[in-house]
Amino acid sequence: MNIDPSAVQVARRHFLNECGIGLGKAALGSLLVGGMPRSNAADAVQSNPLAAKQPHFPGKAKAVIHLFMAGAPSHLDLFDYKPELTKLEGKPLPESVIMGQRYAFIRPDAAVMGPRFEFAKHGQSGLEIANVFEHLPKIADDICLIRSVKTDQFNHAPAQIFFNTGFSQPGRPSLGSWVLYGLGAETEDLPAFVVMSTGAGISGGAANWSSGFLPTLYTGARLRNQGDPILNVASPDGIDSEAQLASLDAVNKLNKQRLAMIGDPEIATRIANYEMAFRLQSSAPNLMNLKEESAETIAMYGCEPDKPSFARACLLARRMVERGVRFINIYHEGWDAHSDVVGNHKGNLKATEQATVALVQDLKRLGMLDSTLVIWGGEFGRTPMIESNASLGRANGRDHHPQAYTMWMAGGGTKAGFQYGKTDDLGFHVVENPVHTHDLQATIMHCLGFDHERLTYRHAGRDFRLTDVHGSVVKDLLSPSAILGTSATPS
Amino acid sequence: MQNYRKITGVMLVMLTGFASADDSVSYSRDVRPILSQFCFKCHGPDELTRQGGLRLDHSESAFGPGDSGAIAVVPGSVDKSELVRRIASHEDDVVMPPATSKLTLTDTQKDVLKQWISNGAKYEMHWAFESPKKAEPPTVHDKLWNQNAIDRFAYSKLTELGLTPQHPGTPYEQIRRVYLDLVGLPPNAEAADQFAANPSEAAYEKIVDDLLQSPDYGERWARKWLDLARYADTNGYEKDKARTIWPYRDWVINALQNDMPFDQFTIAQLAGDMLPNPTLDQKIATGFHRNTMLNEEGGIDPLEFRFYAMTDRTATTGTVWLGLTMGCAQCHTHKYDPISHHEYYGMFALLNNADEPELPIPDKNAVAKKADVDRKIEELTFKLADRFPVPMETIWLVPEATNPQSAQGTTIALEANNIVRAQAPAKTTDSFTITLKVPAGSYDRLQLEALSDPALPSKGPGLTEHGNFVLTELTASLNDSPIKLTEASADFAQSGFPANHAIDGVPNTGWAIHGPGPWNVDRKLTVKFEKSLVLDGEQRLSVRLDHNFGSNHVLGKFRISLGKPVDNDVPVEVRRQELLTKRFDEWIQEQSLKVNTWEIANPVSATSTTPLLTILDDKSILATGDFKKADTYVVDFDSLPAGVTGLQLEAIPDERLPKGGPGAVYYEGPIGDFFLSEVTVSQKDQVLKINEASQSYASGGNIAAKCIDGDKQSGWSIDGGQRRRHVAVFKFEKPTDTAGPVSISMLCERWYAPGMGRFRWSYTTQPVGSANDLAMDVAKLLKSPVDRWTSNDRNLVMKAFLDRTPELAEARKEIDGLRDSLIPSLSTLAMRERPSNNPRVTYRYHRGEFLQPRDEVQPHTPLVLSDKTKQPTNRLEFAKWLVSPSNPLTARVTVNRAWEAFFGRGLVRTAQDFGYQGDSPTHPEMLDYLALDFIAKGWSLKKLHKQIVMSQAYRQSSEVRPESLAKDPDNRWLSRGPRVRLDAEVVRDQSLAISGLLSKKRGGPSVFPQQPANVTTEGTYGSLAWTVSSGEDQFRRSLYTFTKRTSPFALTATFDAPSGEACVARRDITNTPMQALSLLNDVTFMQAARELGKSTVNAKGDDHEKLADLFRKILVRPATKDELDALLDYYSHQRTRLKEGQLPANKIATDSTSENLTDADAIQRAAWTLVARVIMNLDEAVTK
Repeated sequence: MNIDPSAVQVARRHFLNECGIGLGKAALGSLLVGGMPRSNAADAVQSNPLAAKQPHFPGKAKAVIHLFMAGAPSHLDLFDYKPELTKLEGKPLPESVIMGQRYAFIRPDAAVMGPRFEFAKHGQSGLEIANVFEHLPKIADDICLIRSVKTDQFNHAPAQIFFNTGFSQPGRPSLGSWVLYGLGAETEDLPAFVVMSTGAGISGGAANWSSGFLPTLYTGARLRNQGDPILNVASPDGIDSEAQLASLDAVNKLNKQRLAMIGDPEIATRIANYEMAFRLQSSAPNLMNLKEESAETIAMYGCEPDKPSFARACLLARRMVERGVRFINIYHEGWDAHSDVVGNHKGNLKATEQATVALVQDLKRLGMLDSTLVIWGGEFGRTPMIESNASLGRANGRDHHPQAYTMWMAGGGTKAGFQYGKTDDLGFHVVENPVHTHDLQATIMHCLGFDHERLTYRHAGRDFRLTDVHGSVVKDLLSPSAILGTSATPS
Repeated sequence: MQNYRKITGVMLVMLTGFASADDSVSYSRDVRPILSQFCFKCHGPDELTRQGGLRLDHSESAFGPGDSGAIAVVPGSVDKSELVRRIASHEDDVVMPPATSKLTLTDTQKDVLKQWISNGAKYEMHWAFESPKKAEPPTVHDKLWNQNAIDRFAYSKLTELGLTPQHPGTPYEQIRRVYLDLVGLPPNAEAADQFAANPSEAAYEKIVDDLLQSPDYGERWARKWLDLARYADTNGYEKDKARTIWPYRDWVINALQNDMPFDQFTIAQLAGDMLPNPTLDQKIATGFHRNTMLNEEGGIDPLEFRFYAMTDRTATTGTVWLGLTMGCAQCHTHKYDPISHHEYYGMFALLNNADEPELPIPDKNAVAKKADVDRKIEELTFKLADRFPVPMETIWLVPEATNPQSAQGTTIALEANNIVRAQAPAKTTDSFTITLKVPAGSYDRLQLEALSDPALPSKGPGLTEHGNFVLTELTASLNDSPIKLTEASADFAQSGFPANHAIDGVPNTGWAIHGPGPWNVDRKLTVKFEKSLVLDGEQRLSVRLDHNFGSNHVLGKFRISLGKPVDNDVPVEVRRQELLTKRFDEWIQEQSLKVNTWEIANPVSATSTTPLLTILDDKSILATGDFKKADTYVVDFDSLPAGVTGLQLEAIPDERLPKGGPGAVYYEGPIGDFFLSEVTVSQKDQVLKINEASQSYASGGNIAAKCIDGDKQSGWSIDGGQRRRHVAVFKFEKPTDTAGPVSISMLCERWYAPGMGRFRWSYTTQPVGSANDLAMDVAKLLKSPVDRWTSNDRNLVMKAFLDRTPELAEARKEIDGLRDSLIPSLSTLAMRERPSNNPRVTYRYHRGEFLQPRDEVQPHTPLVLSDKTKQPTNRLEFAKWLVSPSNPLTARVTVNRAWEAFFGRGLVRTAQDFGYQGDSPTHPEMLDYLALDFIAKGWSLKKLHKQIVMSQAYRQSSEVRPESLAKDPDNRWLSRGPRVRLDAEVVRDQSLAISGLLSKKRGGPSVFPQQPANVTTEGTYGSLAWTVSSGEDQFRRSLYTFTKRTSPFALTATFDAPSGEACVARRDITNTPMQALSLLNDVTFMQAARELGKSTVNAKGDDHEKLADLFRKILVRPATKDELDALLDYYSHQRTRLKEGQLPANKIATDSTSENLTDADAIQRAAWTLVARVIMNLDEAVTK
């Protein structure tokens, strides 16, 4: 059963007046002086580990929406036009290009396959992309396209985990967790790091939004397509808002008596968390209530309000950013075109493109794009070589390719209408302005106001950071106002 | 946050009594932590990143000139020390640490360094690398605290710091704490009352002793160990498939329950397989390091992920036994601790020389069973002859079919065995005519077999989308004169479409087969003739099948046969013998044309790109060790004679292979299969051309011919035929010209490692037949004249016949079942030391990267901990070294973890790091005392646990006095009793226990308690249908819950339970709104509340008494008056709402639709359910 939003107001007043223990940020802080130093996170982040904090310098981005195109879209068919491949179609690449690269399914001597779509230029920026895009041209002058992204991993799970955590094995904190750890939350009514997904199952799984060795409260919260959007956010059947409130009241009243008796500040934290849980119970349905949106907006995203879809996730993401959610992952898994790259990519674009573009336009329209960093892309690229294997029923596909691929970002301090980096004539290697995964991570952290080398956490005897021991900020990608801060002094 | 650190630092200094930097500055305690954090990265053990030729972790280098000539540390002289000049400098290119490091020393830290130099810059060995020192516990004046060594150390520390201990906890507090800690379950009210009535030392000790003996103890402590072992029930990574390793989990439970000494416990888990004559249990124990993850994602390099598993094993071993962050030295020499890059791989090498098989766990009486089953199979096989099916009524003959015709022009054609097939798409209506060549004889009936086929729509037998058909009329004629049909029957007929509608002469009625259950299967229609047809010679009989129903209800595949009555005068046994003899003779005839006499080729050498190939006594070859995605085997044979016409390859099952072989596939692909991509045979560098291949069995289109097609992506495989012998035959284009040695190259290539496991080659000089799986001795007999067979020979061939002939398929099922019963149904993941002729070489990997192996590394342990001359050389010696007196760490680390389990934090607060970067022990003498005592008492964990829980330090009240909060905020000095949130599993188990739901069933496969199904399906690649266990399995203790790595059980994950992806030495203890939501709304807790609601209604007394009892069930102690008042108030308010129908009582009281409650009952139960829920949500309920 969902909580009636009006009950929250009642609850607030109730907690504040009658119980006398309204535990907003300030009150909580004062109650917890000297308390809670139970984990080293608590040591490090004062009393409330999710309290909003200042980054190292003022960042342009306050929120991030990461549209993770899991399975890895083909840069060669969508963004990085290589007519040379058409000329070489059917012939193997020279060994000097392959340089011992290992592949998942094909043999390195597989034949070249030319781009499967025509390309054209769009906007004032002259963004060159495939004609299969129907909507992307509309934001040609808003995005910052990077054709020189490279990674270390050529299998899905390790590469996805690498992109999100800076390390290819599960166990390290994800981008979203680092951001929460560094910036805290701006909402107490919703989880500050939310994960949504559509399409097939995600290869990297929960390790992609894990808090790793950071405390588990920095883990991404799944917003689910079935059942409760957030696990246990609905009260058990039959228990209405009033009963839930009365129960919380009783719980907190007794906890308060206990606090007075025992004096353990941890009890105060528990009291605050029950209050927050109750607010969450009402704000989650409120978030999901798309009736508040105009028909025009719904149509722009192309979603059905009650049906989970990538488009609905995009609209929800915008609503979350409005409500102070800090970091949002939307996974769309399904780009792994080992066979029929044309059919696969058309299908995935149909499911995602309109809403992706609508999201950027909508954020811009609402004046939120400057403070919201949108990231679009997969975990690696795809081979210039064809994948065809009769015994596996595969034809006209492409295998995994870590050396070069394309991503784009928009807003949050990145340059608008900008194209960056270059690959060789085969789209195989980066030849100009390489952007390694760790560089991208450093740049994203920079947009949020962090020096990626200084946002660290002591674990197992070492100060860990998102970028391990690598990465540098790609200032070329940043708008002039966002470059400021790179030489800021420690806070 | 740095500010916070500073404050803590200052506080520490104040509390430990060295307010300013005076002569009490200690290198270990005060100086090294600063040097380690700020300097060692560039001036420490790692020579590759060392700057200026200076290392500060060594006096020799620190006191000598660096590259610049300056001396960093001049003992006694602050002014002459370059270090002091550098840390004091404000110039960018002089100051240390440099600006690029983004580290700055505080003034206090600078003062400490200066004071240390001025005092003479004395270096000391790091405390943890020195052997524990025996210390006498100090005598303290408090009588109560002078009884247990722990208390004597603790009390004197408190006194030293000007703190006083708390008073002892109430009996209720003590008993609840010790129950939850020792067995992970709360005491019941009776046990608590008994203790409260007599809270004597003896009574408490009796409780402790009983708990240590309770089987709940093993389960409680196993869960803690499983965190370290990173135990889970799935493989991890993308596919995250289920694995069976719970026998290891049960081994841990039993070992801890039986208080197996920790040294033996260690040795069994690291090297149980290498002990002399290891028991099954000792082998199961080696599952410890098989809990690493296994990546089965398409196209991964299996050896790369094995490498990652090895780095995990090395790091985990370091964490669990040494308390060292070994993992830091994977990529380079440790930045802080004296562990070189080379030493890391030395320890890696000690663990690296094992294969990783599945260990079958046989039934206890497997040997006896096998003998018994073998005998039964032998018996039953010969008895098969007595079960050869004899027609009792009709003998069926399939006449040759010719000239199938379709009236509407549908493509219709004959296939082998006189089967007729009509091609989709069907016409709306159609009529087929078939002409049969019927030999002489007497016939009284006709049979139509409607045949299903995967190629038909919905598998047929009809051509409609759903596979149905309607046979509206069947007619037959002989020489154009119609045969009168009288009676039709079918093995199945659709309701409204009975068999006789096919011969009723009515054009729009007919026989059809749609029905309940699977109906896309073979069906038979039998039609009797009015009088027998008697044919003197062969005649043509024509059969017409009309399909007038419309909508494509046309038959797709069928066959027609004719029947004659059995001569019932001859006894059945005689007829059976005749028929069997006839079929046997025919079979011998058929087979003798197909089979070859194969001579086993004698292999002289067998090598491969990766696995070890061993030539066995029977001249077959076994592949063991590692496998890659592409491996080539080369086998050289002794001279073969001239005139060899072909070769036979036997793929042979073997219990040493995954799933019994014959392949070696162990991940991602079909386990136990192989994929043979190419076969090349050469003689004197001349390739012998193969132009034909056949096989006895193949999975799908992966036939043997694909081994000779030049395409490395295609090949032969046998999935579905694991544990059986299969044969492929390769025929040469022409017989060999000359005698001479032959070499065979076999490529096994796939996107997973698809090596052949065991195989044997043989040759023939006869014309080559097609492959079959007859044993070679039987084949030889079949090639020899039948009249020379001995009776034994005949028996052998008869057995082969009975084993294969299709008529006996049904009768053989019993035998098949017996064979299957011998397959061990249970196995677990284990380690197996490699044979001495196939050692695995370990390298130092540059930057810790799999693709950058450099110099070869011999097994050894870090020299800071061990004697250079006495190094372990293998896993077993290494395990023994870990628990030997010469290792200073294992006992301390183990004792510290135990301490942490009871007090929330260890005496060394960084339980996973005893190195330079870790915290120093709060009570160093106590830690050493306990470590030495632990060893002296035979490594007994139970004795250690008892020692801790008997202490006053542990039994104090956990009330936080202001003095204690101010001076000892996180209770590191033990100024109060531990007050810690319960472990995730205990939170759940407690709710099951107090509500009476808990099942005490122990051990066995993991179970699936209730949670929303989409937790393990939505958005996860390796999705798992979470089918909730039935009966008591829903309510087992949480350590039996199935742990899926990529989507762990939601309830326990919310309370910080680990996912099993990495070794966890210390769980975070968080306090979050998600935990509140879970306790309030999760189905498990609601279920428990309902049970409590129900039992409270039935309890004695008035509401007040009921409430008091309910409160005690959950929190053990009696409630205060304020608490009772608040809850009664809540209760009556909710009851009013329930009575007035504002709340649906039934819904709250029960989740069962079958339970019929009266309104009054429902209201009472609902009200108490709500009260129980409130109490279960109290902070105290989830805190010990």
